[in-house]
Amino acid sequence: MSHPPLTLDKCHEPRAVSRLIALIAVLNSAAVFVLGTSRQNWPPGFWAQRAEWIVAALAVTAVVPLLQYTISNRGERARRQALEREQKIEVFLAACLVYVVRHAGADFEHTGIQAFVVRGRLHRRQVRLAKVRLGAVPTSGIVWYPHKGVVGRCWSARAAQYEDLETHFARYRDCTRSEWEPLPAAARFGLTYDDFQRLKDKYRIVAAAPIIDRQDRYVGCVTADMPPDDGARSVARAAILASLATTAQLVSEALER
Amino acid sequence: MGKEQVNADRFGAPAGPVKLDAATVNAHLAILRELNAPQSAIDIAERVAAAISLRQADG
Repeated sequence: MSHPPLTLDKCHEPRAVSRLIALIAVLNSAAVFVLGTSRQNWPPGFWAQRAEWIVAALAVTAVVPLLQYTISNRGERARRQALEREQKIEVFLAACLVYVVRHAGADFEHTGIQAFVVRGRLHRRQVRLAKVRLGAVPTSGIVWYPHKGVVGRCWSARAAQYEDLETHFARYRDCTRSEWEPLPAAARFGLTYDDFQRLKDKYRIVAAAPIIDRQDRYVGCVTADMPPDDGARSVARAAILASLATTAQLVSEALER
Repeated sequence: MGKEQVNADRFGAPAGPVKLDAATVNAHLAILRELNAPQSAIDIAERVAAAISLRQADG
């Protein structure tokens, strides 16, 4: 059974709430204007025939502060919940890092554990929700679509992935743009030549496990990546995948709360 | 159907070829305690560990 991938609809709420707040402010201004001008009886005689406008303006000015309070209170609560959720996810990623260091032989400083979620309605992509890495590694800036990179493969296959990118890309390292572009998408991992230039020296092992929600929808993934610097180390694939699957389950639970 | 059974059923959902096992989940739970994780995070891990144990016990 296939379901459309889940979009975190909460991402769209702030824009809708901003519009609602703006609308309330405009309504309040209009109501104040009506009350003020009617009190001044300007234009003369105009308001005598429009008592219902004045009543409506009074109602609006009475209700607006309550609405503003309710919206602000709900917004604050939602922000607090989002912050708590993010903290929980970060601690799950930290536990995953400790596990892969202890049980899979990963490097403590350079291994990165990240959580990605699907965002957007028309422009669907995976964006990073949280990251744990002790060393400083700049972000690639690449937008992760289905089929693109290990993260994109995890999305399109809805299955855990484990790739030794250093070995895979070794034969393409000195490719020119004209040699790279005709390569099959599977060999390129869906990457453009420019993406490849940014990534070819960045990763050795990349593994990902899907985050599946209670409705069996793909929500995002949890990844572990190791740079080529610690190439002498061998890591235990099964332990990394088991830890990522566990962390993906924990993140899925945290996202649903 | 009890809540734990409902939770246990969730782990039968397709999540790739990697099966969750109680030992890995319990190891993560122990690390979360070592890290002084918030109680809410530990609660989640405990629930997942209980559901996995239940599933494994059911075979």
